[in-house]
Amino acid sequence: MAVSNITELGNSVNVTDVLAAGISPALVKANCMMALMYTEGLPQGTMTAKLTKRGVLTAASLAEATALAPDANGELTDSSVSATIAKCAVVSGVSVEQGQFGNITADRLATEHGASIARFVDNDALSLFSGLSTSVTSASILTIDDVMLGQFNIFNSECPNKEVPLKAVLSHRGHYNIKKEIIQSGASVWSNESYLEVLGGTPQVNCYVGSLLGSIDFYATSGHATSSSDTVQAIFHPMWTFAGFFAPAPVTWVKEKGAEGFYTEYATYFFYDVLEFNDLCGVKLLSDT
Amino acid sequence: MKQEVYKTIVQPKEETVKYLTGWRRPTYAYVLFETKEWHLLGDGERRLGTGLMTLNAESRPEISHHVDLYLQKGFKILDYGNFPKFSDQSPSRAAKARHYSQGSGINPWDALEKFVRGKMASEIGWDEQKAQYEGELNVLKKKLAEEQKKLEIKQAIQKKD
Repeated sequence: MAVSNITELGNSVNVTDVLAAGISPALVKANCMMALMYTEGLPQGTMTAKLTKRGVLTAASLAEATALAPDANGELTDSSVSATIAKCAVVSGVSVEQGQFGNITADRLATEHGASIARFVDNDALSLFSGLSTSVTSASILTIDDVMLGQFNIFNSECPNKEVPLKAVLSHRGHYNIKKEIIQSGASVWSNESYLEVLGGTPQVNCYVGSLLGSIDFYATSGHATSSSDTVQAIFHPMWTFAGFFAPAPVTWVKEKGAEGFYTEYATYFFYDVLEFNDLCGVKLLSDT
Repeated sequence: MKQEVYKTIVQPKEETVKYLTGWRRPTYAYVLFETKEWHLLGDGERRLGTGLMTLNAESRPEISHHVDLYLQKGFKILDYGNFPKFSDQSPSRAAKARHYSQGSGINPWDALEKFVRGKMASEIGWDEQKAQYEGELNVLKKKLAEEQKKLEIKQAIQKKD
């Protein structure tokens, strides 16, 4: 039973809602894809830009004293893919009360706007995986062999710059399953520590999680598209599979509003487009979601 | 539990039906394609088949160039939906359509829908068309049976004579 007339905490006027030192960042994904594609700035004076894909000629043997007229083998035809710049935006309103007494500053809002736009663009780029015309569908979970099968097809398609390690952008589950396979395989190659980067270490801010034998760089992130019960991941060449046109930075407008409700409007926009450049330089990897 | 096959606007190929089994319509604006893709099998073999691809059109109605790009690759539009409308039952979706119209009164998703339907025009309404053809076939079969009957009677009379 409580004792009466004791001077308790509630008897005094106390400070409430003190902010502790610890501030947790939002639990959201990091940007992965923008650094894994061919990029250019925005086109000038138009919203559409064409990326050229060079055509090839075919030589043929020719017998002595034989004429050779120009034919289809000698007709050089380039092709192209078009990017149409789009706008991605986010708008926030901050009340004058929040501005006066709160702690959400303009800098903080601008940072959050930038981060939300980066995630949007990243997810847009990840969605391009679904459009690749070559796929490996895992029997259930992703395996190293599935990834290497994708690598084989990219090499087999004669994607240029083979000296550049291919990038495998996986879901976290895909990454986990690769690590699990290495642990469970017992193959002697995995007893060599230099081959175990993908298993050990910690993920980097750009989602890089390690390399497989120096030839495939692995990235793990979220936001992949799904197809039926599979997650659509991909292995691709970072120079020739996808392309992006990006403005140098998002632009933020700050506007004070009175009659509309006494708040400050922060509006941020960003111009960009991401698209597929060369279909045969990437392979989508479908494995259990 | 038996999963249902999602019914698309355009008839899919037989192989695609398995991908549409249990497929759920996204909650965002989308265009669904039947892809033409190479399936890599073990030992480096490959087989030309189909697959599914969902193009996200939420917050981005001006993606007709992406639709064109995929059509050029031999993909086929099977379905589309959830485009925000001014008359949307959900107030937030209707507000989104109004917001993207930027006061012009023109909903950009309407333009995308027109574009997509234009690309699907030759294959849209496949089930009605199938029923129509089957109806016509039945009428012709009936006519053929009648004519055959008449012919048999005629031949029988000629034989008697």
